[in-house]
Amino acid sequence: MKIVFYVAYIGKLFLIFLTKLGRFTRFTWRIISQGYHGPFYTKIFLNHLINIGFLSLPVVGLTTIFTGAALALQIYSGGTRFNAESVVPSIVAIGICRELGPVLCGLIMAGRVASSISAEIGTMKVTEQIDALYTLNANPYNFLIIPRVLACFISLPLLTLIGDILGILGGFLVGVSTLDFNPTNYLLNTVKFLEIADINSGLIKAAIFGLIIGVLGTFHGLHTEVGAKGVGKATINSVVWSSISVLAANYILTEALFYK
Amino acid sequence: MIKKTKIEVKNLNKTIGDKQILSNISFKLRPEEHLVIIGSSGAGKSMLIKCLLGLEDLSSGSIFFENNLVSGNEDKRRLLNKLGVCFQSNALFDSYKTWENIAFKTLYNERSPNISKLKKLAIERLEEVGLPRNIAEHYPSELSGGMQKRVGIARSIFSEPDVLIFDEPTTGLDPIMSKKIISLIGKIIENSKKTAITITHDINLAMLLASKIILLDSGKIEWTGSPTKALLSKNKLLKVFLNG
Ligand SMILES: Nc1ncnc2c1ncn2[C@@H]1O[C@H](COP(=O)(O)OP(=O)(O)OP(=O)(O)O)[C@@H](O)[C@H]1O
Ligand SMILES: [Mg+2]
Repeated sequence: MKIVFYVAYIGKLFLIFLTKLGRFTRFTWRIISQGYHGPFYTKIFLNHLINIGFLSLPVVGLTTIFTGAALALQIYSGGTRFNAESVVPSIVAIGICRELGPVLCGLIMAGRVASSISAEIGTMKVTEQIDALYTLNANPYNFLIIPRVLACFISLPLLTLIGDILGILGGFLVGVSTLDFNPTNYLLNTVKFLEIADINSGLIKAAIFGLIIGVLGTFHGLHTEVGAKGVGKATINSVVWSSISVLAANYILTEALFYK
Repeated sequence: MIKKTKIEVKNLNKTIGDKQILSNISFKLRPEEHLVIIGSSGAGKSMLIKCLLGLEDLSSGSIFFENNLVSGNEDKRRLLNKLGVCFQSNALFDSYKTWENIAFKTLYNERSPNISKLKKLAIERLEEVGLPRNIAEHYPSELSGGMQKRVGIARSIFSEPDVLIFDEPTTGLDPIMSKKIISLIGKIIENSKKTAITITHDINLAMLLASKIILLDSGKIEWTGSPTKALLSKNKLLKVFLNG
């Protein structure tokens, strides 16, 4: 008897999963088809680019600068164990550009942006504003979703690039002030072993993280259940799922494309 | 000459999950008719409107507009374009000014809209619904509930739609404001000679303005007829509504 119960339970979970997957597939397909048909609201897109990209600069900058600084200290303490302190500049640069820059940006944006996107769209959903958009001949996909997804897709690599620079700067400041590196040597060593591919791989990852954050944020917002509680739930789900997806995608991309 | 039907709903059913929300709804509306849907909270009134608008998929049944079956997204879009809707929760866009809300449809559907002309038209609409013109530059959150309702009505009539739909236009308003809105809707319907559908709990509104009443209860049509017939009806639920 008990076994039947468990089988039924697993079956039910599987069905829920399939429904969600179906919804998500339909959602992404509509982004693509509506994007293709247009219209594209340029002004709205630029507004989101400022909101999502530009206004995230302070938090991204602070995070990467502190992380770069801490990374320099850690690598130094590891490096001294086999007399390899001189690797600090290059390892900081490579670590930040290939891994920490994009991942930290992705996680911060999952918290800051995915949540605000889904709360905003979710509120519009429960107050019938999404319905109103349809009746006013403005498709919510073109009007709300595509501009936000695109803004995430474009701002994440840009933020990551700036984050990379500031992260390296953080390492440099600690290297020069606490670890007694010669400033010129530190910079020369940073550049010497850093390859363009290191930076590019990080930026490509970041772009994909941006896509994930934008799509999951808008998806959870648009599928908010009725009531203010629904908005809270959608917001939590969007942050949780986009953070996990960013980390999972990071591993998959690293393994598949950039690990040599 | 046969009178054309404007809207016909045939055997409409709607289920969500395993919950039957609307069952077997059918009615016809001629042009210039005003249908008022009454019913207690949760009866499915808003859902019926959303099915009609194509915002919710039907589980079964069909909708005809001017005798043509509405099927597929292109039909739905064409139908939506002819309707002016005022939602139960107003659904004004928070980040747009009052006049932008009112002129929204034209503002965002034309390649290069004439801003000053649209603003002038929006202000005319504001005055039509009895609001001062200076609130054109305010945001919806700066207006009172009654004002927001009227802005919603102004938005729904902005592009002179074929059919007007108002979802609970007087709910949550004081009796004086309710009366004002009832007479406003009466005036709009009379002037425009358009088909209209109003949802309400307010029996006064129904008796004053309806040419046809539908009483909805747990997703079914419990009673339908004209206001004069309603007074004579022996239907228990209808009597409860009539006697307040
Ligand atoms: N998205 C949904 N998912 C599940 N159930 C829903 C959904 N939307 C509405 N319902 C249910 O459908 C029923 C009818 O809802 P509807 O909003 O149409 O009621 P109503 O007659 O407009 O009530 P009110 O006068 O309070 O506005 C309710 O029982 C509601 O819980
Ligand atoms: Mg309702």
